[in-house]
Amino acid sequence: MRQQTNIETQFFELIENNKDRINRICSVYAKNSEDQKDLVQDVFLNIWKALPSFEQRSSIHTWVYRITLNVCMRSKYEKLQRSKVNLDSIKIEYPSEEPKEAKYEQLYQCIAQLAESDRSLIVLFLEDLPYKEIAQILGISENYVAVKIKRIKAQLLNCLNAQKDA
Amino acid sequence: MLDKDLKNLWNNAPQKGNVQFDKQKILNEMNTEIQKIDRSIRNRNLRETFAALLVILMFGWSFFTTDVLISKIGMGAVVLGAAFIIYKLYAVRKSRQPVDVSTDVKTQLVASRDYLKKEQNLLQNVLYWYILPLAAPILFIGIVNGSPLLFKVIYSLFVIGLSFFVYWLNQKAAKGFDPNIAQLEEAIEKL
Repeated sequence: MRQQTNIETQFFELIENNKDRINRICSVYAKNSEDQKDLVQDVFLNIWKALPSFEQRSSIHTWVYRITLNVCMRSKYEKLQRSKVNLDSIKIEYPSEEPKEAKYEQLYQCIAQLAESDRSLIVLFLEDLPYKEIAQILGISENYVAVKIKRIKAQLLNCLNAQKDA
Repeated sequence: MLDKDLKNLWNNAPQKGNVQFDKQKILNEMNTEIQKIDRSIRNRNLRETFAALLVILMFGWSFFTTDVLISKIGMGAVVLGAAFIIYKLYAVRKSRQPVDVSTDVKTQLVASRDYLKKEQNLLQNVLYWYILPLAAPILFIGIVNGSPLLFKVIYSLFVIGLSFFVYWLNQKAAKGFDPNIAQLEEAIEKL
């Protein structure tokens, strides 16, 4: 009973601290706002399901990023999809008049143009994670992360400059 | 643009909506959702087993009531075929472990690809574990019984036709896995 309460407390703390991060990443993979909500709900559900078996072999931060990316990437594959979860208690509220500066939209558009695996790398880089942690989340070597980030960054900057010039 | 500028741009971008959750309801809802998913898997497993058990009961009954030895052999073979299908489905379910969503992304992609390949393989091999164990003895029973030749021909054509149809449906479903497997291969390779 006490252990269950601990898990509940840990869960609430975890999603409160990470909900913006999770939402940001899901928005990169979502096709539209409805899809974004479904992804966020699915991430929360998977965190809740997996939390009791969290073994602290990695930091909880790394663990949340892994779940978020895995859920978001999995959603692309029709044959891996389960029936959609429907949790009314989780909502995404959009401000009625969201100021959208072109540079932010351009960034999202350029990220969306990247290959799926490159997208996961750049998102973690933009979240200011050290290469070591990115390597742990993705399951690749730290050196390889550095090489790939350099290449993807160049690609992203090219895209942003091209959009600026257009 | 420097790394810092790029990260600032990302971090200062207006939030794509604010996530709100109802602390009172969320746990109940999630537990219900998990139960719903478990229940749907359990029901599917039950349906599969029930269909095979029905065949076992029907042909098992005929096995004990028929006096003709050759028909008895056929009925027994159908029962064994249906039992084999139950075993096969059970073994598949056991190996169908859900992919651990908290592993690293590359491991997850590889596990997802392997999972899809396994499912595809099951559909591709449906002839050996589903169609032949059932259709062959059913066909045998129809041929060896004392019915008129015309009945035997129509019966055989029906069983063979149905088997082809089931085979075709499964091969079509198996092909449906190809695009996802190819996309996963590509993602693994590029990561």
